[in-house]
Amino acid sequence: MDTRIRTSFLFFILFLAFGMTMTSCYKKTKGTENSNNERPQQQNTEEIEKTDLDTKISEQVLTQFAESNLKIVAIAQKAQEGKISKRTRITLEEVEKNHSQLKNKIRKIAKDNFIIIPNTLYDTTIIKNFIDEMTITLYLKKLENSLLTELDFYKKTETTTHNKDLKALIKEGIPVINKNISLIKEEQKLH
Amino acid sequence: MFQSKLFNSIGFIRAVFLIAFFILIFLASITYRHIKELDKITDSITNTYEISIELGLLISHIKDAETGHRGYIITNDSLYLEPFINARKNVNHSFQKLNRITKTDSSKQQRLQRIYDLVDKRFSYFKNNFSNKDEFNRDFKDGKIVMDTLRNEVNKMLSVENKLLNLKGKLYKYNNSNTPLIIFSTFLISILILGLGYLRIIRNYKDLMTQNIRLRIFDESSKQAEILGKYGSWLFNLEDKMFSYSDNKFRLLGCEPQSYVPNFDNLLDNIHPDDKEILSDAFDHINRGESFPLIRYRIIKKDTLEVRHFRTTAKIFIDRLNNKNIIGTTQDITEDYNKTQLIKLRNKELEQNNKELTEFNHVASHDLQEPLRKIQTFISRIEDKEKDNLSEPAQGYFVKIQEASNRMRILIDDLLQYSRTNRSEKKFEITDLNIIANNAVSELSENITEKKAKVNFENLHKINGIPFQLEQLFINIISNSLKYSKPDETAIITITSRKIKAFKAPKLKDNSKKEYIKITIKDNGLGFEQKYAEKIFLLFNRLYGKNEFPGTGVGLAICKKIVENHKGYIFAKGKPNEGASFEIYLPN
Repeated sequence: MDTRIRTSFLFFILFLAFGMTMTSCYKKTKGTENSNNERPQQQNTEEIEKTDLDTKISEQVLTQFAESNLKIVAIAQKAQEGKISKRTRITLEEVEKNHSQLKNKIRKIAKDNFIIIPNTLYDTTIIKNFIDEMTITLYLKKLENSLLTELDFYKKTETTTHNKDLKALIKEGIPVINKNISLIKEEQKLH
Repeated sequence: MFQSKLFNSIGFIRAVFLIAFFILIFLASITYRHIKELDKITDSITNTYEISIELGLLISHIKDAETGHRGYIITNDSLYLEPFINARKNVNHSFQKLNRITKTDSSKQQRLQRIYDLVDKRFSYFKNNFSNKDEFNRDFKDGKIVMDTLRNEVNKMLSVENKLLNLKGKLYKYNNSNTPLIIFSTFLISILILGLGYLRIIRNYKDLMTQNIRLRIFDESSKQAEILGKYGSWLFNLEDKMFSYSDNKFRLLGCEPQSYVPNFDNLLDNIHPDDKEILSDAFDHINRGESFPLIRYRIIKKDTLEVRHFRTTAKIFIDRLNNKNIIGTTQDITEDYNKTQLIKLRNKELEQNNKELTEFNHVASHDLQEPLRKIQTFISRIEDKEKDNLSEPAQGYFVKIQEASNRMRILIDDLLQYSRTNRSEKKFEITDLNIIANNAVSELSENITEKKAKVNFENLHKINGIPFQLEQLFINIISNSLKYSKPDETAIITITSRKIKAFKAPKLKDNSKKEYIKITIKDNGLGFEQKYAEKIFLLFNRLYGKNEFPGTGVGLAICKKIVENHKGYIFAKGKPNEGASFEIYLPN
């Protein structure tokens, strides 16, 4: 046999043996893991962790989303408690309804990401301050400011987040907020 | 022998090395896998611990939230909200961690989802104001039920994790106990293989050194032998068409050793113009796939321009690397050639001389017969007509002349016969010795009857010989026995024959297994002294005076000549008054 062929043959055998050994190791490991479901795959966990770093939703951000939403709903509800025109009431109910729908979407994201978000607005200082004054103009103004703050927050978050659920929420939320802002602004013109 | 060859072959060593290499890889893989497995078990145990701890913390954070909430409800002081909000953050943190740990395990994820739902439900009861006491009581009661369910769910998960922990602990313990053994075995086998490899290499190295020394000695001795034997060796690579000459090959061509690079182009430079074709033809044989013939040719030495005679032979040799070479030897045979030429010349001269001598002998014998015949004719005429007129002394002289002329006639006859033995055609044929002996007895019948002798023979062998010469041999020896028989005793001559191997007859000085027919002719005559045993076969040699026993001394010389013609041997054995014995060995 020619020397070159012999050398090639030797390397082939070597490569084959090495490959077989490695494959057997891999299979064995895989088999062991399959038989023991309780043990997480370290490799997969590492991959997930890496992905999470990029797409993870911050609990603080989502809480801010929820609190902002609750705040607007609370102001809208509080504004309706006084004597107001029918048109204004309808507008406020529309704003409340739109934000309630937004709230459900936020809750869905929270559930998917194991985040407990507030269900009630605990900090009622701002609302309490308004109770004494009780003028619809101020409620509408406060509502507009809150909506603008919320819109600003949504826009900022849109540029920073990588989470596609949050991005989708923001995409749906911004038109809703804009719509509510325009409704409130129109209502303000009448007062 | 076979085993030794097998174990010393490069293939075997290579195979052992490969096997050792694969064993090491295999062991390394097992060790790696084992350690990796241990690592995974450790990770898994840590994971289980983390889940357990985190679940405990989760419950604790919820309790903190409860405490903060109650404080806030009772006092309506927002100071209590901070621990509540922190507790919620911590709960979220725990959930994130648990989610990350259990991400790849769907059953754990499901369980975690249930826990999340319960926690979320529990948090939904944390309101900041209640419309009435009943609502507060209802919420408080429902919150407790949810909390109990949550605890139950967490305990279930903790229980599963504890079971897993036990299982993994056992597995870890089992694997951990095997680890030192596996690592130790791996190292032990590795060291063993290394040790064996080291010993084998050292042994081979020593062998190599010894062989190297022997090779050098052989090389030096070969160089000396080349100089003494006037030969040189060369090697021709059939692939690159390059030659390699030994130092003495250069010297034979009249050059300094390794003074130029021999190749196919300068191969014929030193060859005599008339002999260049011989060498070219020989290499053509190789190109046609035939063997290199033994060739003789002349060269012209470069330094002295002397013509020398060379003889070359070569054979194809394929080495272990599959290179096809021709290994050749060239010898300077000029001295041998000159000697052979001289011998041929001398032989020719000798043949000529022999021929002339035989011719002379023959012619002389024939020419001598003619005057002798005349002398004898006139002797008989004188005897018939003038004998009585001669004086008494003259008559005595006349008798002596008559006897001398008779002897001369016999001598001439014998010489003619001796000459004929050499000159006659040597036609060999299967000859029955019984017939030969019978013919000889018939020829000598008168003499035998006169001597009242007995010739005994039976069952003699057949041999490949010249019949008439064999008959002459028998006649001469039998007549010799009759001549030297005892006058007062009946002559008994016995002829026997038998087969004999050369090495069994020390006289022949031949140790081969060549077969001879040994013919023994024995008599009870006067015999002779053993010291004359060889002398009696010489031409004209006689043991007794011509007056006692007439004769020419040619008979036994003829016998020796005949035996030599048959490439045989003849020996005589004798003892005075006890008879003589002739042993003839003829090739069968």
